[in-house]
Amino acid sequence: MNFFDKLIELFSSAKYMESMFKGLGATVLISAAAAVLGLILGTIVAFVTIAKDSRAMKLPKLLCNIYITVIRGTPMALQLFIMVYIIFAIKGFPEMITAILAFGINSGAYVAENIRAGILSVDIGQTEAGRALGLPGRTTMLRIVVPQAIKNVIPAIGNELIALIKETSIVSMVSVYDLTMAAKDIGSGKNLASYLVPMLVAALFYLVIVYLLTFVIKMIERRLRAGDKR
Amino acid sequence: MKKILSIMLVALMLVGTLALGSCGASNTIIVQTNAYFAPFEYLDGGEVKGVDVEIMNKVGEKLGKTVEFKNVEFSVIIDNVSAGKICDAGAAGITITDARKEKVDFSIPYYTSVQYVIFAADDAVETKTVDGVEYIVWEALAGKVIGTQTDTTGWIYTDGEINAQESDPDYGYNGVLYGTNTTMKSYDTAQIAADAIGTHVDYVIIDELPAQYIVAKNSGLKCLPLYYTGTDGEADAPVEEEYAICVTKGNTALLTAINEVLEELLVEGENGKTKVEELVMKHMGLDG
Repeated sequence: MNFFDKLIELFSSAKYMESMFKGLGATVLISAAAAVLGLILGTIVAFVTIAKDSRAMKLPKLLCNIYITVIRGTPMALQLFIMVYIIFAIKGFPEMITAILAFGINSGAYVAENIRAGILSVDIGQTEAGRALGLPGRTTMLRIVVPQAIKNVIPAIGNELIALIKETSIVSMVSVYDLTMAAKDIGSGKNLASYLVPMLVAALFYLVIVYLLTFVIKMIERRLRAGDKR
Repeated sequence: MKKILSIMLVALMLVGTLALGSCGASNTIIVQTNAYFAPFEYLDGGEVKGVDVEIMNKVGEKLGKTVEFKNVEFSVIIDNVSAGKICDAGAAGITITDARKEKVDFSIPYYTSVQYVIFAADDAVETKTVDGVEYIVWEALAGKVIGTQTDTTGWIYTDGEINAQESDPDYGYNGVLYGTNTTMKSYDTAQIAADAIGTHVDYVIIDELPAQYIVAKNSGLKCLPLYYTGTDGEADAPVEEEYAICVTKGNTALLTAINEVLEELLVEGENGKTKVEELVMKHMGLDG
């Protein structure tokens, strides 16, 4: 009754659908930009944390460990709040950029741990064999260990990207018009005056993005595994 | 490796310049609001519109500045305006209270609102009718679960009435529900609280106009004004409040401009209505 009326009203209204797609655009933009930032940051941090102990690496290693501990140990909503209202508390600074930085920095910590696990999962014998054949340490890492590690890391990174997309739903807290805010907009008193329908539709949108991403990840995995079969 | 590093560097620089490029907006008045409070502010295709927006746009015209509205959680607005780092003013149908006055400067009041109770149409809540006005007194809500929007006056009043042990006129509440096993639940917006009626909450307390909006579009809900029971034979009185716009303490230039605009808007026109009342009608879609 009321539920289906509102569902039909939402899908048949150009204004509401425009709002939904506007929100979808922001969600995709933040997720994609934060994912790129997170991958870059995570890769750097991972290589620092697995580097051999030496005097020069002591400080970078300590900093990376603090970064991972703090970011993984505090809630994302709180990190976003601190980034927007304390660190980037500058008049006119776009919340969108702050949000991308906050999500990218958050994602980086998880990606770093995923990459570290992937590299450590490659048998030490592979490194030893490379070195025994006379390859330098760096070549052994880049040509023997990393290609094998990537294969192991892809599912975990995919997992992190999916989590990241859904986590961006809290940016409406800091005035970014994303998919969740679009749902709140459509559900507010001036429009449908009920959250249930727009929230369910927003959930459907998230599901579609995640499904498409899963599809791409599966494809990459399949290609990487092609060489395994003999 | 060098190639990757340089790509990373370029990416970081790009983010940096983008961020800085959009900075330095000294010619903009940044106003925080919570755009789920029609007709005072609401989203329309992602843009904030409403009575407060029109008032602030007139202030912007007066000062020759552009006005930018930011849609945030209601509960952070007063603190953000107080800090003055990321915004200049707050316009969100904000009620003047003593606690808020300590943090920000308020303009002259521009609208008087009363608190309303939203309830399920089939709810057998006890109502009173005096001089043709039907209302609900606080006592009728005893022992129930009341939903409110965090940090709004409905929230402050309900919290006060449930938790204040004795009458405290300074804060405007009397503890009428103290010890009655009444509980309050807080929500991000009044709409979520209203959606929870019948399942998670029994009643929702929110300002008059947002309440009427919600009820108009949901046939299963009704709303009535909320009253205090009169003491010593006095008549029952509605839970009244006054809206004003707040600015960072000491920003007199902006405050003066806002007050001037409000004074102009509060002059009664030929039809016996002020400009503010006309704006309210317009944004409720009642101007024909």
